[in-house]
Amino acid sequence: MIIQFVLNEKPCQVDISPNTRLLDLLREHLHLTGAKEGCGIGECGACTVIMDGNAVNSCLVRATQIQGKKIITIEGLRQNGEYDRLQEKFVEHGAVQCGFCTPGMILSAKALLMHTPHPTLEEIHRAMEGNLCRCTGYNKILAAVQDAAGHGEGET
Amino acid sequence: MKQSSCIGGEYPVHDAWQKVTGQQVYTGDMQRPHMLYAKILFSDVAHADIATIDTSQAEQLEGVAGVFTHHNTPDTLFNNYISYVGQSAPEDERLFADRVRFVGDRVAVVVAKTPEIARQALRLIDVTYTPLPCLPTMEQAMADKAVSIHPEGNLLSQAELAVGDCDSAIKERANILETTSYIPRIHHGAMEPHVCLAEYHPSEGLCIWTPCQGAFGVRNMVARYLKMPYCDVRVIKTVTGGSFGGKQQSMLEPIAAFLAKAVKGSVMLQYDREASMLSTAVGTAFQFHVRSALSAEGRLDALDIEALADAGAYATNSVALPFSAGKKAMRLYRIPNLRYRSKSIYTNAPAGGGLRGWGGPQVITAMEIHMDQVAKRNNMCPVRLRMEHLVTPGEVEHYSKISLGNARIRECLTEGVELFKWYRRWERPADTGRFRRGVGLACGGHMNGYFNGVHDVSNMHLKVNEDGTLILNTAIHDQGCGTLISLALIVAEVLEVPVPSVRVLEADTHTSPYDMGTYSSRVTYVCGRCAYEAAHRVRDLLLEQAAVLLQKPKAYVYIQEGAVFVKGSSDIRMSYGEIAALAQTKLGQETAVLHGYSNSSNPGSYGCHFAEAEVDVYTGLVRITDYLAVHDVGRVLNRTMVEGQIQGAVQMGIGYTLTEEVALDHNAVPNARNFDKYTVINLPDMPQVRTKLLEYGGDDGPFGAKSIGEAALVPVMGAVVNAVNHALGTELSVLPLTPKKIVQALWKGKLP
Amino acid sequence: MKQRQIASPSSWGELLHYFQEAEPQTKILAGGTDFSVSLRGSTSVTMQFIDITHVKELCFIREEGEYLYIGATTTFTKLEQHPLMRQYGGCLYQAAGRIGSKQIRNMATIGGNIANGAPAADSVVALLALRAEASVYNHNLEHRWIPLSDLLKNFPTDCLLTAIRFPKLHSNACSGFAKVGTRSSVTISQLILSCVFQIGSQNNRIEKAAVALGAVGPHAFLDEETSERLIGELWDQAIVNTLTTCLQETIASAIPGRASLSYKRIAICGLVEDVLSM
Repeated sequence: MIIQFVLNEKPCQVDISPNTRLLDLLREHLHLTGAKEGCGIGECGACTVIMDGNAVNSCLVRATQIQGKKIITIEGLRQNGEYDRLQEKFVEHGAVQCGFCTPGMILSAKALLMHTPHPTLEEIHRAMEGNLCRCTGYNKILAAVQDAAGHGEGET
Repeated sequence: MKQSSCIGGEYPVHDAWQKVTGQQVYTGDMQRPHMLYAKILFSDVAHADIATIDTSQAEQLEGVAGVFTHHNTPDTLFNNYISYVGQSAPEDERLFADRVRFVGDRVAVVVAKTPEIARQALRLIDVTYTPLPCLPTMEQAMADKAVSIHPEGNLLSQAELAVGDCDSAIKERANILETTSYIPRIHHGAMEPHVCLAEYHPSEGLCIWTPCQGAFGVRNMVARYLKMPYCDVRVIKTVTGGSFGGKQQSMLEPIAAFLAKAVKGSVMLQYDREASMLSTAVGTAFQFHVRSALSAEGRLDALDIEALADAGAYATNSVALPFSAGKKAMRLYRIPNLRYRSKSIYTNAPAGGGLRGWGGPQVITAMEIHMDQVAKRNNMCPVRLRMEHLVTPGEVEHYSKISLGNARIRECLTEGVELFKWYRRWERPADTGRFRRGVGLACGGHMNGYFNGVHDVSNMHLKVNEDGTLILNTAIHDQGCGTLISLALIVAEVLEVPVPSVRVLEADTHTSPYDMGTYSSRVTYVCGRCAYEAAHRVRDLLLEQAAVLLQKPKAYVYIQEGAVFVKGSSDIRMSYGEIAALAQTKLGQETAVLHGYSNSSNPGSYGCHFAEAEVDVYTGLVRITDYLAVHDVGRVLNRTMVEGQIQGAVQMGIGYTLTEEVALDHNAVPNARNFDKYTVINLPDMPQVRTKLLEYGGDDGPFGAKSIGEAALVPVMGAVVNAVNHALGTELSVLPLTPKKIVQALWKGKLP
Repeated sequence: MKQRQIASPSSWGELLHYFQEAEPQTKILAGGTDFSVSLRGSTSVTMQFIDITHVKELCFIREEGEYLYIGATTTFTKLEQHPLMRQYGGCLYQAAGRIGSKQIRNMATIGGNIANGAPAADSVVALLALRAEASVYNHNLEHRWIPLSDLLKNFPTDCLLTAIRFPKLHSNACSGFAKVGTRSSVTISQLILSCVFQIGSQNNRIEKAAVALGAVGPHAFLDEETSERLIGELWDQAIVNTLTTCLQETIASAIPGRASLSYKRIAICGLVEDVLSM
């Protein structure tokens, strides 16, 4: 089946079994390995990508569902050689250790800030509750997101 | 010594930028030419002989390169914990079982062109089992004389460590307290599931890419198993997506290596979360029975700990780990009669293995629960009771007879009590409504390396490049916790160069100097010390070579800010790069040292944690509303990572206390196989963890630094249990303190 | 639909066509959050499903007279953000924001949550308390509206759920939703409670009541006995006790002898307090 969608702001077309998981489409067919399989059942968030502005678990999305959609992966966050503010803040605050959860974490935060540039703590909780981390204890991740949001002006 | 320029600063991990852009390559992201994929069929019964196994249909599937079972793999027994040559541990595991001993045991493997084909082929394998009675619990395994999980019986090993005479001391005292506690089997929960890539060419030999903690150990084990020369087995440590001890043992490597050799190509063995949770290693479950005798003056005369350790289906490290727990039990309190006795029991459960703290979290939690009970029963302040017994700086621990070094646990406790406003919270009248708050504290600590156990050696090669940058070649295994940046900091500090000019290489058995492995909290203290000494030797070598090149006496040359100067001649300056380049061309020498360091001390790294918990008496849910961790770290090398490690340890510890368990039903079938039913603490449930780092220095680590990663987990569970018990007036001690257990303890079956 | 085919209709008409032709084992793919988990590890080649996510006619939230209508492929994120839901959706609005994680809510649909038939389907409990009805087509494309409580007792495996509707809640209604799991968020519910009460403005007494439970037995259900019992009661603090006692009895008879019984009979006290405080 031919699937046409927009990937990191560029048109993309693949011929693929419609049952293919978006995670496998990205990792194996397009060689974008930023999204990771941490659990395969939508619990850990390591596979998170942004689809039509919403954070989704790519391990649960099937290729047929992405027809016509806009997908942003972690590889697409850096624009014209400039890091996204969230990426900078994650590094600055020491919010990265083993890094396996990091792409998914950043994208969940990104989706939040795209809709809500100045989120409350509760809104950050709701946006990030589906991203697990075993290394950092989340404190520095939260600090990074809050710092990124503090200066946000609805851009990014 | 001059003022630090980079030690104690705040640095991200060395590859943070690659990680935030998704560019970092983990093992599962790797591609090799004509790479094949392996998928394993795991047992879904706990104890059975494989009666028949028919792989013919699977073999015929298009795209399948091979199918392996116990019929066509070696029947050699091994132990995946064995790493260095000469190490011994009971060898009781086969690559593929002819008898399965737990749900998750390996039955067969398919190697195929794609993961989908491999999975399809697995479904075509037909297995029939002859069931055997299963023994899910230690009690059943000990009681059952008819059923043996391994030929030698279900008692794997025993250990006893003692100082003084506990039996007499307890006989003499009237005030005896006994507590029991249970610390469950948990999943390490690294976000990266286990993975290994192996490749074999007849001319190149074997290459194994693995996120391991001991590349040389893997090499030794695999070479022995496949009967290959060591020089033909190369193990390369890849980027690790977390380990916490879960990737310490050689679990996937022998399988992937065997397959690569069988197909003469490359094979990717990627476990999914279910396989990682059940079929690798779990944090060893322990049952404790603790007895103590209190004198009239309120001092503990005796502490007697009996432990049952759940080895699970295979021995792995369950002879060594319970013994090691005993050693840790000796290092926190000064009690004249202290005894630890343990039995390791085989059960039809996932095998226990290395977990952060290696028995320390388990035994110290039991001790800290006991201490609080002693205090409660005797109307004593839990702080004062601990202060009576906590070890002091320079104290010699009586069992091992080695110094605990500059042990500052007492300061951790006193400073923490102050910062946490302990007494105000502790003495608050008890809540009686639906939401009840309480506070708890616990002390704990961990080692710094292996000394007084096994050989604790590290070798490193430090070289100055012709442009003055440096390469530190090590057999280190960074698990994502900032190890490489720490070593870079040490070298940069000694040599007065910018941190980015020091590149640190990780373990590659073909090219790295030998190191024991990245465990036992030896990296900062032992490997860091090796790097420190290597850097000093290079510093000295630079001076020596510069002196020759400048034709000056060595006493006249000195280093300042990353270059060599001559006393009295301010216009003469040689950069490190110039020295290295000229040493090559004029002296025929490299500016490099190979340095070996053998550790001969093992101080404690200590911490005292304080938790405030709020319990909903109807739902049994617990919220940690405040948390403080005070740690005796000697010297902070990288503040960001020390704080991060503590905060991460608290996340693991809160889950260990309240929600996490790889629990089995009465048929030894797991209740949880993935994160839907195995509950870990997520962001909304995680408290802000305040940290206070005490830097008293004084021991042999680089700049006085000591370990933190494992020490940070040890006190968490005790602090949280004690807080819940304080909130509710209960004496809960069977972890995890699930909502059901809390509600049952509070209401005892009655309705509110 | 032939064997091994996966259909992805982009219109209502197309969907009906595929649905009518589909073989009995064909699955419906809506959000995919349960679908994917159930597929885990299974072979793809024998999979047959109809992906309904592109059928825009199934994704809506609108009011018609006294009812709110919600299309089957409406996601929980859309439900928690829609002004009509905030105004009239009561307990369903509260439930929507507590299902799974943000990633799940962005994909999971109300139709999928119902059709998946899990014992702990959060939205189903809220819908039962709202006395919602489901719009259902059979293979002959015969359509009917059926009370959700009836549908759950006898859920045909080959029907197509297209929408739900329920009476809008106005200012004289009090509704609430509460659940408890193994942690405070993103958790399989161990117990779910949802209630809708209509209070008489003159006498402050309960005129209508609907109390629904989930994760107590094989599927969520309306506790008609408790609902009846509350009618006529004064809407005051004493309701907490009355409701709690009734629900404890219901739980005891729904899961007699189960290991979780004693826990749930206590936990319900917390859920009643939470629901009534909303």
